[in-house]
Amino acid sequence: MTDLMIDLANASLCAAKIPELRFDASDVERPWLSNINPDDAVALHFGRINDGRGYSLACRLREQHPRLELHAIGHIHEDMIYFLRRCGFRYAHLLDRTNSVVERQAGDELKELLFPFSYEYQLSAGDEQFKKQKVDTTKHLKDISA
Amino acid sequence: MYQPTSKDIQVLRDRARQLGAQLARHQQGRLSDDELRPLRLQNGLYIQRHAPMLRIAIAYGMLRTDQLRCLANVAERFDRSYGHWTTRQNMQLNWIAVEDVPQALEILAEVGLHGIQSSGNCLRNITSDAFAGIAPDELFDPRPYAELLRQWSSFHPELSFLPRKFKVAFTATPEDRALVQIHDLAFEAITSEPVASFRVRIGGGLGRTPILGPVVRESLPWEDLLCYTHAVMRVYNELGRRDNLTKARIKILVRSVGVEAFRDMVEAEFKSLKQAGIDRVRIEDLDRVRAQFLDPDWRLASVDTNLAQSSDDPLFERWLRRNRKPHKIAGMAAIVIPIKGTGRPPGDITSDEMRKLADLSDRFSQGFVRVTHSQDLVFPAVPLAKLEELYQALQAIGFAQPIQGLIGDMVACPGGDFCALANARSLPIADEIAKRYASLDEQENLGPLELKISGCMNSCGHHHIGHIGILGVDKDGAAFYQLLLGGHSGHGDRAALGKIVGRAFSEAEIPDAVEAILDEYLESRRRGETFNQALERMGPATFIEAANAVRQKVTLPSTASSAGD
Repeated sequence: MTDLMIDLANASLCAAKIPELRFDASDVERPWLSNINPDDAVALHFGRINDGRGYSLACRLREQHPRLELHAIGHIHEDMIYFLRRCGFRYAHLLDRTNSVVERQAGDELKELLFPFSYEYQLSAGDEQFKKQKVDTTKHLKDISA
Repeated sequence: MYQPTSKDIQVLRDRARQLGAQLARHQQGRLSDDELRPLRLQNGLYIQRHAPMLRIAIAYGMLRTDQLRCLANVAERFDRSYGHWTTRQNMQLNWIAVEDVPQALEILAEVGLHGIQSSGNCLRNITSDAFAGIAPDELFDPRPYAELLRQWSSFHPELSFLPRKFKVAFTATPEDRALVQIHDLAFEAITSEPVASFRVRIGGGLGRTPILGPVVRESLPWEDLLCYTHAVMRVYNELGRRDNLTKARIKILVRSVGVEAFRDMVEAEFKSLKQAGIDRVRIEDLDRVRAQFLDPDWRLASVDTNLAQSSDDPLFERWLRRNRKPHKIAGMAAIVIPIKGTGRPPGDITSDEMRKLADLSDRFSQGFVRVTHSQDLVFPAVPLAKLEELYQALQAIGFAQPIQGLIGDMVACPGGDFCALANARSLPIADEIAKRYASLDEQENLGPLELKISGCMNSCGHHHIGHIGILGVDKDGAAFYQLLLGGHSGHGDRAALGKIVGRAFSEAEIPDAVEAILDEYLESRRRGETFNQALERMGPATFIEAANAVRQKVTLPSTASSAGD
């Protein structure tokens, strides 16, 4: 893992700092959930690339605690950061890999990876509107027909 | 049908560019094969037995002729000038080069076509009744609801890495023409608009463990469509098995925890999401999607609704009887165009044929075309006065076979000739049976008969729900075929899963076995009795005995004698 992490909200790199609170994203038994505080920083560890449980867990945490600072650690590669951002992760700690956006500090490519689509069809836990809660979640449907 | 907006088209362009960048990162060593796999699959890009395959989604089976021509052009430019209609309203190109796929998708994007989520462990291409919006027996047109869900599920960040694939279907008719009972999630309309609601089935599917989906919710208001789907998929995403691929579908989760417990979990999640105001849909939202739907101009319907019956040509009459389907508009007809026949793998169509059919649709069906679950096409808006002219035009290009619903209209997956998963070849079996029943009189004499052939347990040929099903199995490296009897897709009667009868047959035996079963039926049937009715009355034993008699005709290798036990 590199000494930099991706700030998913700002499409930038910053010094890596992994939170003390770390949990396995694939763990279905989650006794720790009830002890999370609204302003905690929490790292979720992804063991396998195809295991989507971490995304639902992140959404669940964001629905309960909109201010939570979520980090993704473990088997994280460049093309996962779009999904991580939209599920409410703030930081991603990528695997160390030659020529990656982190190693090259390639800002433009990082933006493309994080925002590949000119339009997103659904509101999700990582979206700004979502953080305000009780927003009009059907905005996408109006926009798409505009 | 839904007309994509400029934003929809831009998203499709973005998607093609994204895949191009992902393939480049793979080339640069920044993405491993394992990391690229789910990303390319979510664009419908497979690596098959001989070559890559691109699966292009035809959303709930609706096509315009500009899209059909675009498919023809893409198949010609990047493949071997033909495509294959699948049993889930997709088109597959079987010989495309990986490096050409982004460009092919860029071209398809301009007409609103794509491979988004046509594969992979995500919510797949949403399907529907091929006669949706024109069927006289439907409560309402389910397509705008399917489109709502299609948009919501596209690149859904939470639900793109599910335990396994997830297939969704919609129908709004009492008769199941959308195969709702074999889908992971299915919505059946139960009350009319404006207070539309759906019965919800969850956990159906074929494959290694065929299950007809149980009803999990008797009534779901349409406003909750997205929220409830989100709840179902979140429960599945978190609790579905990931340690065993063959037990990862939602049907296994539903069966293992029980329908009641599963329902409770979904309802709790649904309540929570709903309280948070997530995924709520309002009538304005539905209306906006509905406004993007363009229907044929029904004013072009024939005034004289008896014109179709006025011909003296018996072949035309036969074609009408078999291939014309009921229509909600008096003076209009829906015409099924079987993409079948000897020498043609079921569902295969050349670029040239696609263009010819597009031309005919422009002339006779206002440029609207549909794709069915049985690998056929439909012209949904043919004025009655134009039927005979259409028949003659179809006849001139070889597409006027009056075989809809007969044995010649069989369904088959690409099987071992193409698919890396297949245990056996499907297409030679389909072709041999098609040859034996090439006579239209013989097909008519057999009456309604659904023959469905799959090359492996994945059941893309829907063998479980054929009146006669054929399943390819592997035994010590040799291809064998199990026979199933008594399945039903739900068309015209309740859905049923066929039962495997006896030991598997060799490739040389299986066409004989099918013929022996059908001979037995012809000999034993009562007046007006269909194959399935005869099977139900007589039981399978007589038919099994007839099929087993063909085993004496060839010598089996000793290692294969227990295949299928």
